[in-house]
Amino acid sequence: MIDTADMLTICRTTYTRVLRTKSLYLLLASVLCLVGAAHLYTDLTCGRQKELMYDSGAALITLVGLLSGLMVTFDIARDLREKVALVLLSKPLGRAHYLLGKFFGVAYLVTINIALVTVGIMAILHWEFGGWKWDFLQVALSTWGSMIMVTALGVLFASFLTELPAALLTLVVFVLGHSWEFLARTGAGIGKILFCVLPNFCLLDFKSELGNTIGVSWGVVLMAVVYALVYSIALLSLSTILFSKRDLA
Amino acid sequence: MTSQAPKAAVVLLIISLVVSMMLSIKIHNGRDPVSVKTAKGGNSLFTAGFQKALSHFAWMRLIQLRGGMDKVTPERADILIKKYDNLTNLDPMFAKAYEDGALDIGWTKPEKSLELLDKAIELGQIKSWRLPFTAAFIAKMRLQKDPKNLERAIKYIELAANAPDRPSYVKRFEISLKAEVAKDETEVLDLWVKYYTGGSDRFVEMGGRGMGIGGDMEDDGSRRIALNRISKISASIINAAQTQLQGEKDPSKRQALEKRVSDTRKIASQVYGGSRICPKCFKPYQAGDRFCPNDGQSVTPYGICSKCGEVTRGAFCQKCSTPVAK
Ligand SMILES: [Zn+2]
Ligand SMILES: [Zn+2]
Repeated sequence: MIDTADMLTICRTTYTRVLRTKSLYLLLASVLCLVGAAHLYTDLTCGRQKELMYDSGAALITLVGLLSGLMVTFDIARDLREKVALVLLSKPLGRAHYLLGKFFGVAYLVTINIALVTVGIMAILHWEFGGWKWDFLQVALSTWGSMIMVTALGVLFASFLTELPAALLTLVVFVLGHSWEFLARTGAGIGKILFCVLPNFCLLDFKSELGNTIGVSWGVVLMAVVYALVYSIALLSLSTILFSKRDLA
Repeated sequence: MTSQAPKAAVVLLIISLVVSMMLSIKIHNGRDPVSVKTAKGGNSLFTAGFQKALSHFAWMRLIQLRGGMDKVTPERADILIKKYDNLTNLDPMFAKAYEDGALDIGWTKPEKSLELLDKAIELGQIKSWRLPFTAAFIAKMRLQKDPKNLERAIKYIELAANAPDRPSYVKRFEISLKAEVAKDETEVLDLWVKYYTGGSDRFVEMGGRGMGIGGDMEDDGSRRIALNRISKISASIINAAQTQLQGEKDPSKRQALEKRVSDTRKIASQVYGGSRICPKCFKPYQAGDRFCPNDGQSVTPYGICSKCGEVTRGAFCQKCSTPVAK
């Protein structure tokens, strides 16, 4: 019924194209150097270097994921500008397959990058703390979830905008999406509804709790990841609807 | 383009939105509300989840700034207050920032310093005794002109005294603050006795000779301090009562004074595990002593065999096995 071969092709070409970028590996290496360098900051932080290492690790995972996820907006825009895949886009279901292919390609890239950085940071943390910081996996997993959501957002905005506005809008929503906590605290029903409907990155942000060793249960982290995946489905559905109406002549 | 894709997409959109709504409520409720508030700080909007990482930069810059100040003038204190406030918005759990900040500005701006500590205390997440202790210290040392602030200091020190792992001097500071507002010496004596016994019956049994176990009496020093205070205060209460008794004619008042003397004696001797204590300085003396080893006051001897005169610590004479009254 649904021919997914086109989708897989798009997916594969997308991530191989991006994985070939050398600057990516340079970025990953420098991230690990930065985290490791926190060890030297004993005096500057007044003995807070372990926390610095953990928190900068969490922040850098976010940055790497964000940069990888945002690539989807540039990639889609370039395809459309260079009129690549026009044949596919004219097929029935072709546009949906195209977007999904792009999404999975970049999501794959996001996953690989986050996994690589996580392994590196876990090793550095092990060396600094003298034991495995397993709760860092919670940071990594929840960050991965939010980056999947960022990728889906990127697909959504790229489906009707050119690259720069799409990337900027994705970033803006990412930043604002971390600030909805106050909506949940407003007594008004409209605030609570918005809290649930808007893309909510607060739900996926455990960096402060974990950095302060408050601890978060795995159940909540996994639920947050499921939320990210389900919300991404919503974003992708909306993208397909919008993209199917777009004039690509 | 067929309309097939959008229709399926619309259905999927609605279903996934509803599911994600339900999930978001569950996640929000599943997280400890205090920790969410703590972690987010509430005031650090637009930091995109980077607030904890940013707090390190704020902290390093603050250390540099402070290092460059030889003296904290009121103007500099204002700058520091703002920086510490921002820093603790980024990381509301940063206990050291509150403490350092409060101490930095405590001398020039004690009220602001207490505000900073209040921010941490109201959070209720930092289980450190140091923050309320610092607050009590600043309230006492800098603001004691207003008696209202003594009450404030007491509130802080009570928090500190009830926090886990606090050292014994926190508790003693609490007593000394409460002694300042106590209505008479009997109340102060009570505070010290309570501190000394620390709610541990075993300790009372072992009295002044035993080893302290847990509670407030973690070291020999605090035990000695407490016993000294108890002896001194009971001596002072009894001396005052006895002086009053000499001039007092009213029988009901005499009775009350006599009761105070005997009660205080009882309390003091209980603290020493029921051993005999000198009537003048309220310190215990040993079996066979005829004069207080502390001040030479003549005392009623005990532990002397009625038959052979041997001094014994136990209930029976070690020479002739005659029972000896304790
Ligand atoms: Zn004496
Ligand atoms: Zn005898």
